Amino acid sequence: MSAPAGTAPASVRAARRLYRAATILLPRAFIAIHAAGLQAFFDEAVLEAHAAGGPRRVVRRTADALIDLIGTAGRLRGERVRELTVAARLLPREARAAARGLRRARAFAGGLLVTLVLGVGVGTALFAVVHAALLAPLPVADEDRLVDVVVHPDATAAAMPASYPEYREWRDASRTLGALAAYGRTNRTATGLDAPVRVAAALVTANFFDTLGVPMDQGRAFRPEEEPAGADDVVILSHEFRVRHYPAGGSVIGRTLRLGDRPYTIVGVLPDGFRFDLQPAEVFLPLGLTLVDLERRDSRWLGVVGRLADGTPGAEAARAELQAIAEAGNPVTVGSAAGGAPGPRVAVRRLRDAIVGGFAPVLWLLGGAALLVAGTAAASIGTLAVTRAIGRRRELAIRAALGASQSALVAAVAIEFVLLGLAGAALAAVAGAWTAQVAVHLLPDAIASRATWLAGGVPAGRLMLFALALATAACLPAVAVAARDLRRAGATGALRTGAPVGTGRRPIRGVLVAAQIALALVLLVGTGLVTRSLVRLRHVDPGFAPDRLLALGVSLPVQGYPDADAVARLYRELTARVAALPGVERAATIDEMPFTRDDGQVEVTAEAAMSGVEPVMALIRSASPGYFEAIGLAVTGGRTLEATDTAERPAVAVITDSLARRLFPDGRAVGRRLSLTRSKGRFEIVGVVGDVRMGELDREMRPAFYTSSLQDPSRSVQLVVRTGVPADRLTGDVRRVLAALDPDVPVYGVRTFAQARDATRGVTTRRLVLFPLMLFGGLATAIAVVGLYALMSQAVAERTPELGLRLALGASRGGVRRLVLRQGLVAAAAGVGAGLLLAALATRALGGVLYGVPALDPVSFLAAAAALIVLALGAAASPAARASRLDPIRSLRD
Amino acid sequence: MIDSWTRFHVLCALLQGPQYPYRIARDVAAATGGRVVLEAGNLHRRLQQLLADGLIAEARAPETGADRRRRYYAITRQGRDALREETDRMHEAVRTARSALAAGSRR
Repeated sequence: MSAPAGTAPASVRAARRLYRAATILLPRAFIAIHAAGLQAFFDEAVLEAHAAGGPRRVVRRTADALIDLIGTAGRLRGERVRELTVAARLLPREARAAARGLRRARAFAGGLLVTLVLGVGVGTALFAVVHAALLAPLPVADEDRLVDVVVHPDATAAAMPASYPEYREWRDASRTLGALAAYGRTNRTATGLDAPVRVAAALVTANFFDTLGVPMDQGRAFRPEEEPAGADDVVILSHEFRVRHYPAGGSVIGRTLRLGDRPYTIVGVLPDGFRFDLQPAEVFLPLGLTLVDLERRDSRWLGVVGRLADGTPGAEAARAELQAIAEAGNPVTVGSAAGGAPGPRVAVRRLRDAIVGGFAPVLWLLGGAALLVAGTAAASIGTLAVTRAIGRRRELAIRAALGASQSALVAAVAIEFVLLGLAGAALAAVAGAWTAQVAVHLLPDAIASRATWLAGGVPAGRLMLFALALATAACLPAVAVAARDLRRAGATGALRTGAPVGTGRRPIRGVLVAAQIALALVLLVGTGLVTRSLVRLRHVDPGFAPDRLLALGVSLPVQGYPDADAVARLYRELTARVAALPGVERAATIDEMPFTRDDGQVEVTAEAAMSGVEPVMALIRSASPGYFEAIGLAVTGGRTLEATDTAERPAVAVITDSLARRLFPDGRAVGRRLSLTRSKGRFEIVGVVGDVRMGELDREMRPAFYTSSLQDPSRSVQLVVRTGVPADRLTGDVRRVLAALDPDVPVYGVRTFAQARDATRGVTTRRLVLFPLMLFGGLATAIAVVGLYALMSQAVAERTPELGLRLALGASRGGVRRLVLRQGLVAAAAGVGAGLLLAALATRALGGVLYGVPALDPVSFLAAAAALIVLALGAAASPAARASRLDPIRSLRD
Repeated sequence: MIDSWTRFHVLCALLQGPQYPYRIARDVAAATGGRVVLEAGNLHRRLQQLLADGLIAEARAPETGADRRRRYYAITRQGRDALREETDRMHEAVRTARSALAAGSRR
């Protein structure tokens, strides 16, 4: 009766289109069934209207139809709301029924809970750590406006602290920054307490706490007049220092604390929870600058932190301004000296990025790994759900027969997951919080200090919410699969007749188990790659032999050691006495031991440099005679430092191979001179030694030169001892030796070179990644193997009649065993295959964490795959054995 | 339970045999002298309810070559029973009302 659309009058065609568009008002479920019917109805009606009265009639008819559509939509949605209200009223009853049902299905409930606690708990623990490290606010006011300022001395150099003149020029000229503070780090020896202790100190400008927006807990902040040297005998304590050393309570304001050789008056105590930067300072002192310090541009030691002024849009505006100020204040740059290369570059970052930026990628990476575990858990829960649905087949069939609608059946299945999901999330939140507490102690110090700094930690509500979200995400696919199966089977279909539900179910379970194995494999491959990177990194040649080497920190106060001679004398004496201790092979001192830092370079040039030789940035170290021999460093030319290189003799230096190559391309370094470009330092080169990893193991070795500690002594040194004596005993011996020389000088920071090596950022970062990755990999593997075992057990149980028949018909027991094993192996192999592909994509994310190992390292991939195959065979072995022991008669009868 | 006139009339219209929605609407309009006009949305909503209650069922299309989008609906046994019951109930109600009215006019 309806004309083909093409020949219908224009008004009719327009009306049809309008009507079709309007049908989106109706609920989707209704449209799915009736869209065609509605359209057919309307088509016929509108054609008839056109025939009866032309376009005018068409318009009226269409208007009526649209009004009807709107009314119907309203009524249909009203019905839905009423249905939901009824369902909500039934909820408590359903929940009680589900709880009763679950009490009978302990294996299912237990399995689901354990999986949730493991899978979600791990994610939650990581969330707690990530939250503490990355998401929780810094303990300052309005942190988004705080910026960190550093300088790159030339285009390629790493970021460096600022010099005081630079800071002062920025502070005075900047309009984009409302406040600009500076701070440096140092160590002091506190005396007059129970025993002399070494404390981490920060030297700060008077406006430091004001800039950060941190109020004092007791007392006051520093005043500008306390900044210059001489007036700086005031100190502010961290909360922790106060609690540890003044446990009595009450006010400590006005009391005296001896630091090094000077008495300081305590003027303030910081609030609990305030720590600044990754290495927390225990005491804060004024900068205490001398007139000389005020003008030294080559002394870069100040961290600079600023607060953006009200009108400043962001860090970039501040950067541009500070850059301009730096160029105006410091026209003679490295670049211009060397001929046109760009000069110092100012970088301004948000303070948060500056502090946690380096760890962010690592933590996000771990977040991804935790998601893999959650994914494994979700797949495992999926298999549990399908198995559970099969177990409830008969019950659901009865309910369907008694008239329960499909949605009621789905609700009955879903409510079990809601109950278990809530319980699992709660347990996981508790387990996660607890794991995070434990994990903090296993983290590298740098991160752990931050995590405890934020020990107030994650608000419980937020943790719970996260656990709940993760549990929901883990359970949702399972419920969806179960619901789909129910719908497919239909209330009138398999359920009612009691026939096996959804023949497609076993494949689904197989796929889910394979997915678990695949995800576990990704984590195992990652674990393998990081482990191998770590091994490679720790075996990087440091340039010397670090075993049996110990380092002990010693620092001399100004009082009693007023000049270089006094310092040099004490260290010479100390070194000699320690070297004479039983079991000690060699002893020497160095101002900064290897593996600790490779920043703070100075610019050096060869005197009477050949053309084409440019100044080089090099590290400078002050070593005692015997240092190279003590650490076992190869001498490639000339001689090492000797006891005769005293202050009265010309200044000497021993340079490294790389510096020799850069400064003296002709290969003749010994006997020539080296000078510092920014000060008057000149040295005669007496020897060339091998390069040493001064800082990170995974970075290029920086050129360096060593001065003699007899000519250029340092108050704070590392006493380096080659010995087979255990660290504890040697420390005691050294303390006694030192006490005999001066009882007020502490020994601190005792560690082996191997420990120092393992404390480099490269190693700690990878350890930080490796530890959770191992945990996650283990968990995911456990979940997957248990999942496979459950699948195989279930399969054997379901196939008992068939297997019995095979045995009765003459199949050998070995054949049956192999049949079951093969089924398990197929699932495992599918999972491993998919996992290898997935891992090949995923390991790219490891990127920077890998060292000396390609992202597609065959060893890691094959080892992980082999491990999972073996574990899978192990998981399938016991069900296979059970199948081979079946009694054919009984299994057929049952 | 036939709790609305629309449902009642739709069931009545189906007593003559399986029918598709537009024809049902026309038949109802004709049967009620144009007092009950069914638009597409409302009618389909009612059909959906009748289907869910088991009073009608989808039927195979009797004619060929017509609009394939048309679905045909037929009244079920249950539908006939319900309609009969409802008609009896209404009949009873009409009788009660008539006699009451008659008694009232005599007074």
